[in-house]
Amino acid sequence: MNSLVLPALIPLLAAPLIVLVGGRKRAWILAWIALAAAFASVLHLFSLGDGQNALGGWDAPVGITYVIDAANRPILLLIMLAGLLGLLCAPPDRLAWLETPRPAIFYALYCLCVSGLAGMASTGDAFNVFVFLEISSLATYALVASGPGRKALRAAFQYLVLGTLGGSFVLLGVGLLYMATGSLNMADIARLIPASPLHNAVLVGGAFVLLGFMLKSALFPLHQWLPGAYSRSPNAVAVLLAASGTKVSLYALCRIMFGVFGLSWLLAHHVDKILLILACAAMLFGSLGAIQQTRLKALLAWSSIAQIGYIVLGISTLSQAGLSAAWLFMLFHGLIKGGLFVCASGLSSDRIKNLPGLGRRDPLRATCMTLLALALLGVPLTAGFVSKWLLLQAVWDSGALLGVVVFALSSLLAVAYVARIVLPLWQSSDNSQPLITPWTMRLGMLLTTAAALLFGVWPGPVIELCRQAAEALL
Amino acid sequence: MNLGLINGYAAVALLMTGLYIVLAYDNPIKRLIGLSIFQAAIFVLYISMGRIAGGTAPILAEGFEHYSHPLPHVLILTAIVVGVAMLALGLALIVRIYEEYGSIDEQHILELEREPDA
Repeated sequence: MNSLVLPALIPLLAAPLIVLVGGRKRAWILAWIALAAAFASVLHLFSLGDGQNALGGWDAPVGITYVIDAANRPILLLIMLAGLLGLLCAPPDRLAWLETPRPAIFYALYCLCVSGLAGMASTGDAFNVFVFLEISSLATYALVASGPGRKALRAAFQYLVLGTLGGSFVLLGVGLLYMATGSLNMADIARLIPASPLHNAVLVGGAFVLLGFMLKSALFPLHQWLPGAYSRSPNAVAVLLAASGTKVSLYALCRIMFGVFGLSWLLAHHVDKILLILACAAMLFGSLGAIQQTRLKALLAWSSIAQIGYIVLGISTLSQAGLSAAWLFMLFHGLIKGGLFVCASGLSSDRIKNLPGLGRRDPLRATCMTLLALALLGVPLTAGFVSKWLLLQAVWDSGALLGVVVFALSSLLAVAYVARIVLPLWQSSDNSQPLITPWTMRLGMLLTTAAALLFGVWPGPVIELCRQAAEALL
Repeated sequence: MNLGLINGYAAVALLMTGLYIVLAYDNPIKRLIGLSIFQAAIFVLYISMGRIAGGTAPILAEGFEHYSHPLPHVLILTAIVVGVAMLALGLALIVRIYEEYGSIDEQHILELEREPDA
């Protein structure tokens, strides 16, 4: 059963190895091999079925356990695919935009970040979540700081301050829960909470943990770090973060909500209503923010804030349909937004006013970008439509009329910002800014676009995965 | 006021102080100091919760019967290491910001940013 730790362990061990081996090309190839191996281990987990692993032979609740079930397998899959997709955008020969004298360190940090995310997704121990959260966060701060231009440094610092606050909130909450129950194992805490005499410690601890994960998943109004971190970071990091970073925090949020506190606690403390209101605010302000952006990557980042709102809207129903729609939304949005960030990579300037003429100069990139942007919008026959449709159904069934209204409004606003990037692509212009499109990046664009279209007409298996995930959580 | 909870009150006071410094100041060094105070408050909370009145260090030997719970202390060792890493990274970022802008003053940097860059 030790294979349960492999998705987190392989990239973790690969990181120092990459630094030792050094070099540009060798480091990239090693990072690729490591993430491909981790990806293979996730596929292996799918064949293993549910399981628990007691590290060091210490059984739960004393030891740290790794829990793999239907809920986190899809998330692990998303992390590894996002990691591989991101690496396609940082091929060794095109690192000119990377202002680091030692590229090996960049790839090592990249592996550490993936390892932290995978660890967060697979651990069943509340304190271990914090440790992995910090591993991935610290690596992310350094990765964002290695982005082009000096604004990346300030974005990284901003992210460091807010991210550390979020991590500390989680730590504080876990401490209070430990005080109330005397256990760190999530399943064990869940068992002990009803008997705990310290109701207030449970309540405050729960609030702090949830708040911490909301901050890390950039749920409005705790999103200030996200636009800078996404739009100023190196291409590969933007792809990785946009496709999987916030989703893992959302997964951890759900894990704590349903795995530790349970439905009756959540309903008793109105967590569903709080999440609904925050989700609606995120959908509205994220879309409004996206419309006002002048840079492509910043627009995509603001759109992510809105999309996190959609996912949280699904979670806020606390129903099986809502959760499985949220899971589907996470997977498909990760795919689509990751693809869009690949398409936004390698432009010498990502200002929207420089987009005209791209359709003529790089038809493949412009076509992929158009299709992915339509998928983001939720046009039928794309993956985005399937996830939005199921989400809308779930929210309608839960009777949250506010959610339905804001959903529709935000989708209308999305038309405006998608039009702002798609229409200029196909205008003619004598713009001749240099483009960097290595074959690996073309591959990434093609694969994500193909997948977004494929899952639009054949979403069955993924929907089934998400249904099982929701079943495992509730 | 229950004196047995004095560590708790101290932790809350530190927590609020740290959070206020992080949110209210522009100077990045001060914000890092605020973060450190904020984290230290959590450390105090953890360490206090393992304490038992009259308890000793967790030693297995004759004559020691009550001992403090070692697990919160071990947990917080991990969190302290994370805090040190955060502080080091934050200070390194501030050094880089100073190298690039010639200032760490937020107002000054915002003025520089208004000039268009590529």
